[in-house]
Amino acid sequence: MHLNGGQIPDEYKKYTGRKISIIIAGIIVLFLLLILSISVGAVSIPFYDVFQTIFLQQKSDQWYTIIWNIRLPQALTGIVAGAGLAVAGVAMQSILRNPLGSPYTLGISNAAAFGAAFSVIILGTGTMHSTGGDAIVLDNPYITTIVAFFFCLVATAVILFISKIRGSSPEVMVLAGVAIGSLFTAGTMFLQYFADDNQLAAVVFWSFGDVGRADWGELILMGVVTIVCSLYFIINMWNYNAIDAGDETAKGLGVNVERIRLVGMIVSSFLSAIIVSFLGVIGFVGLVCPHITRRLIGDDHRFLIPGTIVCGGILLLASDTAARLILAPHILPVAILTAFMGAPVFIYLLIKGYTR
Amino acid sequence: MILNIEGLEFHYKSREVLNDISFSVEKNEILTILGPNGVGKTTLLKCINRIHHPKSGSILVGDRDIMKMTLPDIAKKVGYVAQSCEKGRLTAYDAILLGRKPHITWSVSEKDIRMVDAVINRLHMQELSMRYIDEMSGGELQKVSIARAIVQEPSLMLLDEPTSSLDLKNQQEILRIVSEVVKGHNVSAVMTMHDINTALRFSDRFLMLKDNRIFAAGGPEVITPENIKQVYDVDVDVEFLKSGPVVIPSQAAFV
Repeated sequence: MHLNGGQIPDEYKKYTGRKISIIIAGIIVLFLLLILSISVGAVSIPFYDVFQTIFLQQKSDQWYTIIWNIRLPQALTGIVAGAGLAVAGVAMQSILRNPLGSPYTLGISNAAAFGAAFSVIILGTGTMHSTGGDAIVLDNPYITTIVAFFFCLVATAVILFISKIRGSSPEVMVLAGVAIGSLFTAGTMFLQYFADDNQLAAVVFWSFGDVGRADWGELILMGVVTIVCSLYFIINMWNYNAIDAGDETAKGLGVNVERIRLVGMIVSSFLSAIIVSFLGVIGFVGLVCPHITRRLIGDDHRFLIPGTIVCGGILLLASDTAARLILAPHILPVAILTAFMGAPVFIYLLIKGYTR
Repeated sequence: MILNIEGLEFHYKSREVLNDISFSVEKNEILTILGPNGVGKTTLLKCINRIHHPKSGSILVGDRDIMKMTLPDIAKKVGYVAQSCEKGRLTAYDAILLGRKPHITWSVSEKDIRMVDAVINRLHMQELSMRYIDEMSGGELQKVSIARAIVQEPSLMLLDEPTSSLDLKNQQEILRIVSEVVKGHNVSAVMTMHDINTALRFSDRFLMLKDNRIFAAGGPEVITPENIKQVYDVDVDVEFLKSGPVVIPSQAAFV
């Protein structure tokens, strides 16, 4: 490589420029997908009308209600939740130095599902209504969400407590997470065993993650939390790069590895808990998006974190759009589609290897 | 004086690992810590840059007390090359740039780039710089690790077994680089090593540890058959060749 004293070498510029181009391309794809997602559904809305209704806000427009009250919040929820779960996943994988790190594999989602089951069956907050054109209605969705969130935090607290006793090593955190996840899964099964048909259906329905559940208020809350947590991860990008080089090397570079690991786990768990509590269990996004992004742009967190955020948004929004179309007018929960769409892409990239 | 350690003590839980360790390292000096496995060589290195917290004693780098410094401040003074380095999907250029982490607040500055350029040139790593480190050999990766420590601009470099798992050629090359950096700048180095002959070739002074304490300290004159017998429990002869002393296991060691 040609080095020219103090200037970023051309070859390196090209190398980083390619990564930035991929992220920009991802943002463009995400924007186009957003328009497409709003346009398609039980009623098709022309692209131009979608554009005009959103950006010119013509309230007299015949599509205004559909777009602003139903499709836009749902699509944006898909982007926010996908981005949030994916960035939580990449942070967990980095700070735990484990490729299996994700809100799903570390038991956070299982804890939320247990919380929902507890709320519906023990506190009686939910019964089934219908799964037709509108979503299932829980009698008291807020209590269900709050209880699910509470158990997410319990799971996180237990993992952190064990880490405090045994040291914040990646192995301890991952194994504790897997154990906690199994415990909550067993707890959910126990509750389901004693539930009546309606309660069981409500619990099972809740556990199918669905981005159509959130209204504007919840979307804004999730959006703010996702942005703040993502900023925290971006601020720590150099620390994560250092931890990737090994704990001892990171410490030699002045990184307080234990603290970064602990705070990173708290932030990523909190972010996952917020999203899962509102939307239900959406697996795979947090696990697979960081890996897809790694294969496209490598392990450098300066690019990996923003890339994963965009990738998460694309995957969940694309899955949600497909989920609304595949069996239209019936709507599939997005959680079913994330794995169907993400797994083939992931397996293809796994076989193909890293992009040079 | 670059490093001054007085009465260092380190315990792992209730087990004593280091006891009453005192020594100093001068500018442009390479000191090698010798001793059998488990005697506390690596622990001593990790105490110096506070990866481990000593139970008692003082560690001064320059005139500053390590225990009163922040971790990034320590990283600006002490560069650490760990025994093993994880192989992420980074180019050598990025991996070396990471050494500027203690100096980077948000984005990479012109000085950071200049430092990385200078080290890549100095270590003749131009061809290596855009290769991914997960595709590198042990020797190449070790070069990257040392380059990363150099761009930290430390006054003291700590190298934990820098030549373990390297072939003879790479061992010589890596230690020649360390030697050049130490002699060419106001830098000192403390290394741990198992190969006494390699250590003799590249070190100015030695610290021999036995039973968690310093058994002998000084120049090449401390590498005697008696001291090696005491420290390693091995019979050796020390022959003096043109190039310097050489340690050879004696016939008795094979019986």
